Amino acid sequence: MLTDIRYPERWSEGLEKIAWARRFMPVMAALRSGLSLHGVRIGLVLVLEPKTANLALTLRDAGADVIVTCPGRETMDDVAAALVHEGVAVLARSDAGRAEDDELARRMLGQRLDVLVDDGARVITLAHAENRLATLKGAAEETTSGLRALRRTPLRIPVIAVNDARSKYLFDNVHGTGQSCVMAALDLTGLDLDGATVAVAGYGHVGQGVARYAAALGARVIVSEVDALAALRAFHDGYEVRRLLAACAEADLVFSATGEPYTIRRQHLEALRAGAVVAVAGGVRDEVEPGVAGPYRLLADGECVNCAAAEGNPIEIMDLSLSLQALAVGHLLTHDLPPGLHPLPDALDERVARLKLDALGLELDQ
Amino acid sequence: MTPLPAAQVVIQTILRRTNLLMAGKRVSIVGDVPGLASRLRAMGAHPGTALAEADLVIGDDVDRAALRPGAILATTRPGDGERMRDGVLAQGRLFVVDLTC
Repeated sequence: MLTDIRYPERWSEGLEKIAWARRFMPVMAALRSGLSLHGVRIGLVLVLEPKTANLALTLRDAGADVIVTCPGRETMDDVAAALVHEGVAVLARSDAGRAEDDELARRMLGQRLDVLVDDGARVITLAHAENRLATLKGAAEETTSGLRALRRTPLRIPVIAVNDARSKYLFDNVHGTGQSCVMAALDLTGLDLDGATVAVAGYGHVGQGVARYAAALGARVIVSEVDALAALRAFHDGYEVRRLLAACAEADLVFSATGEPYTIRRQHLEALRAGAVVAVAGGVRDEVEPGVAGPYRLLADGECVNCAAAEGNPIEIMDLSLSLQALAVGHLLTHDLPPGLHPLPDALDERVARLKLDALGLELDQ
Repeated sequence: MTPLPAAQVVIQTILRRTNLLMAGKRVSIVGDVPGLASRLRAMGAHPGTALAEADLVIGDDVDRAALRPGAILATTRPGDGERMRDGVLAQGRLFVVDLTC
């Protein structure tokens, strides 16, 4: 079996985590029996942790050959070992650097994949750049920043914009990333948010979530935006709106939530007070300008803090997002879509929402 | 008796231990932790839920028999049980989160 992992002996710890997550993933469980993927080869490029492992096992149980890869900084070695123990091919090591990450992805792309499920569009982009698309019927992309990159790329395969499904961005980006990034920052620093000042750069869905959860714990929140409507929305949601430079001068904790490189630049970092903390909740390389010295603390080396230094998004949230990914895989295999970006059909989006309502015991009005 | 930690610490500990979402959780708080209910409500949870209907119960002096199957009890007195993951035990049909570490 195709495998390159760091600690094969840690599989039992990984299985424990996967089993815990599975208890809180009722939507995935409801979809499991309806998936039929016999003979299909699927490449998964997702943060390698217990929730995504459950997607891999669900696809495997549906008959697919599943190959998983993940950047080293987002790989949980025990979960990787558990998947291998369960017969899933894994090319992911926590000690891999960026060049090794790409080499592992190339090995995955060499396995005659039918469908690719990506997170950040790194491997979709790599496959296009190096003409490794031969057998791919299509791909699905999980993130805002990944779709932003793909909209600038002439695509030669169909790609489903899973991130744009309402069951994804209204919950994953706002509640999932918002809660988990704030909590990861607090776990890493011990900061008490009651009365602290938090600056949030960007008020898209992720920024809204970060602001909401920081405020919920008692922080004063200052939002910075380049978009007039987003700034206005932040103000009407009850937050201060200021330029990032001014916000940084007062902040105890600064989040970049834009998904754009160089959001927090030298001038911002130099404006910080001694001991201020900087974290990324967006998810592209160099959102914080690298190499700027100062008396601030950059969490998780500037990687997305919830994935690089904690367990990623909450389980119930990823149940929705990963169920959408499973449905996107099925849609790609049963529809002859032209190259380019495609929305996930509304019916599939709504199906996930309804399954979640059922699991919660909530009823819709007639 | 170990007092319950402060509100933010309680929330952080539960979420770190479980990797669960607070929004939408039906929560029952047994005891007095200043500011806990208001923070939970601001996070989208539903504090004030009856003990027997709660997804999450926070407190030490809790009648465990009154909780619904599958409920999560967060307490400084976890007791013994089957390990689910670091800081989380299964006790019968309950999951118990250890708030002490």
